[in-house]
Amino acid sequence: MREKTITIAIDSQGNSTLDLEGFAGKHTSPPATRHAGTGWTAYRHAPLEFRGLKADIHHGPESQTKPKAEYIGADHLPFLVFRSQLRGEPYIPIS
Amino acid sequence: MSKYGETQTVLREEKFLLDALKEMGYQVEVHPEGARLNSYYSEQEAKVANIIIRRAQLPGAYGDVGFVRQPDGRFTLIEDELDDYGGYGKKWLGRVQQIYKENQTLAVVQTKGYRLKSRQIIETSEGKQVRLQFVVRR
Repeated sequence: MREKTITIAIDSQGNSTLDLEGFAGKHTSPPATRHAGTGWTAYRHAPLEFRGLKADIHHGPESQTKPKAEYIGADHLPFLVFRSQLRGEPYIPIS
Repeated sequence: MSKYGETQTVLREEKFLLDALKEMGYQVEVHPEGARLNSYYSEQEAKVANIIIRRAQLPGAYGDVGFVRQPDGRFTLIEDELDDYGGYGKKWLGRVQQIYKENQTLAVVQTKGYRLKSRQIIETSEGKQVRLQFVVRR
């Protein structure tokens, strides 16, 4: 009998290297179709028990980056001007 | 002055949340129908929570701490805004979530046939990290 080891790290905010929903254990059931089209397809050639691991295993392609440049909504932030008086003091309107 | 504020968490399973709070030494009230957090001053308006830790158990706290279940199944943390900046903020909630996740991981992974081999606490620049090592025989 062979022995297999997995290591799971949980950080100080409770983030884990194992996605429990994607963890299939040692069983060999077919892959869940609900992962199709998401990042999980990258693990389709990995052993089933590692499909939930967000570790260094990458057998498939990375996420599909669009080859063409496109508008990404990086507008400039509004430029705010705070007027000063001649003496350098802040402008305060008198109502 | 401050009031009760809300923080959305990713916690869903009540059992693991209760285990985590108990492991931290709190006596927890569970109210499936919800119960009011106490108002210790006028700005702390009535808030209802399903899981409550009373202020008496929270050294230095301004109010009770509660968790309320949302329609999507996740728990929201309700606490006085001053406590969020004090001893019961991100770090405290992080500790709750870390214990929650460790207990949940142990429960789920062991049902898949894995056995816990070792548990280590590693000091990192972002705080303590828990490392669990599991083995399975095939």
